[in-house]
Amino acid sequence: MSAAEATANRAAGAAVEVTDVSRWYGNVVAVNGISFALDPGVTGLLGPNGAGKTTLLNMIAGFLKPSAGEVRVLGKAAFGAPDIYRRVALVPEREAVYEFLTGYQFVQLSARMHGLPDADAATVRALRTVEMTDAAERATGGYSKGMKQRVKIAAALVHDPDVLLLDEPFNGMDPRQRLQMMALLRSMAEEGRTILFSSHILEEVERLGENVLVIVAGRLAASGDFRAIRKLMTDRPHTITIRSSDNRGLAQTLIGEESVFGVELADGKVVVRTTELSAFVATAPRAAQAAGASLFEVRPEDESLESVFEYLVAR
Amino acid sequence: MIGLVLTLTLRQLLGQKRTLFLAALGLLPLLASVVWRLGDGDAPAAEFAAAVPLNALIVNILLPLTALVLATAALGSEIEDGTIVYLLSKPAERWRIVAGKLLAAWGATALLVLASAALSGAVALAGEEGWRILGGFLVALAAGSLAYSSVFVLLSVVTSRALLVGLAYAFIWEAVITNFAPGVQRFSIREFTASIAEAVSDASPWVFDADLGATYSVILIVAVTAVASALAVQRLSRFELGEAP
Repeated sequence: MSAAEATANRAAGAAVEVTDVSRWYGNVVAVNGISFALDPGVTGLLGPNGAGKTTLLNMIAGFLKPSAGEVRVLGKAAFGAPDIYRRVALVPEREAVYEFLTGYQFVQLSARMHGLPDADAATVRALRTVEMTDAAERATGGYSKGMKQRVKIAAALVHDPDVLLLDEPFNGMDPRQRLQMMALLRSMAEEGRTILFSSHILEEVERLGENVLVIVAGRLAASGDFRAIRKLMTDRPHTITIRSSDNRGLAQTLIGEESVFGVELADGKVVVRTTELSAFVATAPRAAQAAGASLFEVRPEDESLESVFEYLVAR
Repeated sequence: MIGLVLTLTLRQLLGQKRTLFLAALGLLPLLASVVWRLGDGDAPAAEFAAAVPLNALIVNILLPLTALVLATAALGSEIEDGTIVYLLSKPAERWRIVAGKLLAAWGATALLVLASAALSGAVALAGEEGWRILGGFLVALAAGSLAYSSVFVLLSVVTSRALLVGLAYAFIWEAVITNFAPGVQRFSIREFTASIAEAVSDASPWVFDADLGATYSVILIVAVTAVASALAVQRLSRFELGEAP
């Protein structure tokens, strides 16, 4: 896409507009009243498994009709409009590919279905972009998970889309491939493309997404600049349990610390609540020394991604 | 686009074990003809060929079973394994995808069924009179393959249990219910096929006698194919990816 086209896109409004969108299956609500708009750049869609990320991506890709609300991509309603695929591409999460085709044939099929004037040149370019030229003549049925993922991305990139939607794109990739793919997505975003990728892994989003949408139980828990959301996640209340040789003495010392806002004695443990985790990590050994207590165990109680997401939703 | 989908689907279908199984099943009518030739059957060759390999084994069993397995695999297996997304995410009218799938299912079905009919009919009729009956069945089987394929392609877009529903249609509705309730023969692709075979071969009633008129059957086969294909296009245009959580 040229810079002029990218500018035209911006002038015409957001590349992706999701307005009060819900999707339910019978009594189960998969996506609940979500609204956001995406401009060119990389956005990470972060959430635990089953949060509704795939449902949301499928609605944006025009493969699911919202039960309520509206999804517009490049100014058009996404569902039931095959024309949008001239400028939009989806990399699905499912591993399935046509296993009897070689990698080259698989990408070439995509190029030919798009009616590209030089399907072979586009195929070679896309395979080179994802570093799959060496394995291009092998049947995709024999590919590893990471190779399938890359050839799927090549098939999606072959027509040079303006909007690229990727569902858990880094699954199965080794660290080097991940870094290479992240660099590729970043450079595509710099060219003015709109890229939305989903992940349940915080670090992936942290490395790539300038903007982030956090989705939990079908609802948008947070959105915006990743650093601000990361701060929210870090500064949330943390619960830490400590076992020591003198729980009562340690509790008395800890309650005087600035980083601690709650201490409780329970079942042979000290349960501490803090909003400043890094400060507490520095404080705890000093407090133990002051109380003359030996620390046997220091365990954070709610560090799972799900509990972080629950906190964001509850705010 | 139609050509790409057709080629892709033919490669899918012809590389599957189920197609080999159907090809093996297609040898049964040939076996019946060989056994009949080796024995001392009293019936005229044309009468035997029409009644046993061509009608009883191929029109009644092989044709609906082959069409069912291949037509539901043509589109249904792509929906099941998720590869359908690679077709739907292209800027092409949905009728082109349905047309490619239907042509592939029809072509593969006709190839297996016509080969079985040609071989078994040729063995039964070798050196005998009545070859027109074989010609009639070949034309009818080509038409019947198209109608069955279109109905089963539609089924695979409508339900995830297309194979089960198709089996119920072919082997309960057509094979059992139409025998006990003559009026409902008018809703049976098998009856349409047999009627066309009779009309094209201009067979004497003692050789082969179908229950419906040929004109009516041709009109119905065209109508069934057109309506099923149109509905399949409509369903695919509103098709939703993914499953309920």
